[in-house]
Amino acid sequence: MHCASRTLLLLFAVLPLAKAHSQGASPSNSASQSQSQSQGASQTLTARWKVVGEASGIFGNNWLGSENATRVGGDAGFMFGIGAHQRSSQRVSAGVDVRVAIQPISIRGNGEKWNGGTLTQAELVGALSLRTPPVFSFPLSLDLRGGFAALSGVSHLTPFREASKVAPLAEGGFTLHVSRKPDAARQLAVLARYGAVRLNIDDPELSVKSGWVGRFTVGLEVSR
Amino acid sequence: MKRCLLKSSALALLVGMLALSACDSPTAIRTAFAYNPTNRSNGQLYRWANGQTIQVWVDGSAPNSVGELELATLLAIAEWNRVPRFAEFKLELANSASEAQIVVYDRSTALPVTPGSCTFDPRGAVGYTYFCATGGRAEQLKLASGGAAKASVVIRVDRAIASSQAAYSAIVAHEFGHSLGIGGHSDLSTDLMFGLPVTNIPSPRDVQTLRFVLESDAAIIL
Repeated sequence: MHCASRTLLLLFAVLPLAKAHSQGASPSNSASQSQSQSQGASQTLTARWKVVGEASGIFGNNWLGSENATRVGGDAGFMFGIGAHQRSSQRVSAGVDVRVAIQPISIRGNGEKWNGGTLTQAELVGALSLRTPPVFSFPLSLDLRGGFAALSGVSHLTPFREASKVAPLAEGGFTLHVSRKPDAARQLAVLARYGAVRLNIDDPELSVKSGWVGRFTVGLEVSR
Repeated sequence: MKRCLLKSSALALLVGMLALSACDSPTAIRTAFAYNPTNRSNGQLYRWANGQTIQVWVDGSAPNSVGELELATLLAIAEWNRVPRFAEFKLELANSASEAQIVVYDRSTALPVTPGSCTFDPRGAVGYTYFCATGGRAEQLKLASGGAAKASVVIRVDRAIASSQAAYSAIVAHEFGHSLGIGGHSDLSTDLMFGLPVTNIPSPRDVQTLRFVLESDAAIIL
């Protein structure tokens, strides 16, 4: 698919969420008011640390592509993570996550598809969550992640053999908390994120070019 | 106001990330060949189906080259296994002739498989690679002993003509180049696929040419 059309498709996926956010930001919104009222009661929770666990599925990333050459892609995989987050204000929390993602790699070329092995990513990321107005009274947060991923398991394969073994990554998305109480001791949440890993290629033959690799993650988050 | 700005910035960052990864993904340039890989295969490109482990069996019973053929084959396997960029193949030693897709033997021993419908004609060559293609596929050969086999390629080498173990090793590695898809010879003596090889290590030009074959649509699948 052409780059511009892919971007448009992705924008259509994000825009409804952005719209919901801008509507919910109105000061007359009743949910915002109820959260403001509970602010005093939850101030004691502000500085408390919480442990966050995550289990997600990873979908749709293209590790190497071009019009006429072989393509290397990731099949559906999974990710587990654990982190420690602390609230810095009523609406903002920040922390650190350690995650492991495992994903089968498949290769396509000349009408054939074959197995390239299993990619393992060990990730260390900083996390920032911004509480936004609720959706159907369920608390929603906008999540941002940034950090590094150590790539292993498929170093015999282009582009991994030419790429730096540690890659920077950035990720953004939303977490919808299943519990209606934003300050409940235990919380279950559904998350949907989009992230990108930067593959920095050092290829003396100049046959492979560096770039960003996008991925969707959808999963569950538990915190206490 | 400040909070709204923070959220708007976060959303803008997310959208920017989406656009970046959609437009700037890692890309590869398709490899071109360094020399014609079809000048001894009637212009036809051939290779193995991608993504498979190719089993190799060595007939080690040659009386004049005990252990030499196995050693040369092991070296050739190690060298050629470095070439694929996309796990197109992996050469591995087989435990028996019936498991092998490539059979390697010395002229001093009997041909371990029965040739297919094409003529097996090594003449006096020091190295010879044989397969017989019909309808875009290489025929499966039968074991000379009568058992079933998976072999479709036979490599015959002649230790009696090779001047030394190094020359013998170079010839074995050269024939493996043919068995993997290089159906031509290079004009440069520094290349393993030169008509009379003096090295047993594939040169960058050999690597480039085999990579071209591996990434191409082939007329014959071995």
